[in-house]
Amino acid sequence: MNEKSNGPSNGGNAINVTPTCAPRTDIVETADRVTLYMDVPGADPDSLDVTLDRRILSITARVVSSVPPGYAPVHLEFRDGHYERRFAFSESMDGDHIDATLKDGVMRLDIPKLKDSPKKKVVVRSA
Amino acid sequence: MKVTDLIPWRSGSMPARRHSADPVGLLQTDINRLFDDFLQTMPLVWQGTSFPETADLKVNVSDTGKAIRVTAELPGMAEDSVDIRIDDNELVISGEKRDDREVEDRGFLLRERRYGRVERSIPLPEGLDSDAAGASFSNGVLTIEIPKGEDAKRISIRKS
Repeated sequence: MNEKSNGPSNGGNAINVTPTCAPRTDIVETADRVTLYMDVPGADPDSLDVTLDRRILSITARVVSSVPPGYAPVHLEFRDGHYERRFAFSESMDGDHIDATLKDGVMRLDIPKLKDSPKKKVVVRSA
Repeated sequence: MKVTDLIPWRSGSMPARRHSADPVGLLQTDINRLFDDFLQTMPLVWQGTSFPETADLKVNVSDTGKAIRVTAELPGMAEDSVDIRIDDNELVISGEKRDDREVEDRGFLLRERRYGRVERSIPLPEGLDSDAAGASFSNGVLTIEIPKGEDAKRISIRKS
């Protein structure tokens, strides 16, 4: 499984107004499933978007936690923005049974592998 | 490519990507992460501010005029695993992130998250009412508000 790099184009601007961060992720694979743990502190649960398109898993979330209106920032090490990351699976995954939970700023994604692999035997005719 | 593309910006958050299928941008992201990790291992050598950075505990400090508000990113920690202390004009946040997964050493494909103890001390200005401080935890972000005390009295100057 590899991280997929080509995200949607953002017009080629090198510096975004709202930064996009790749959340730190742990991935555990077992025989029948893949489990991801992502650190997404401050992510708005309603803004979490997890999609599996064929073998590409995309995760985006919005962060709205840093400085509310009326507060003058004194020292900032993180700011409002987006989390975004994509992964490409090397085998077909069961997108209908993804179990996603968000607890204490950690998102856990449990993705079962497809049991019936679309492997088909091709009979080669001899001409 | 603009000159600004070459300027590394480290504000605690890393851009995940520059633009699509740009190998230079991808390299920059990798290098940024490499330097981030390296700098976090030796915080004291590189610090130039009064906020020494320790491993993996990012804080924001803001001011309303009536209170100082400190927020800290503590993903994977709950209220009972975080300790907050205020003494000698210093706020100390410490916590422990437990490895709560089923231990499957052979199953790891990627391991980027950090575990163990984190601690961060933040210098505070004078005149805060630390007894009235309050804290809350939401979505892995700890928020501490410390109101400013009434000690600072305004002295009016009489006309002579």
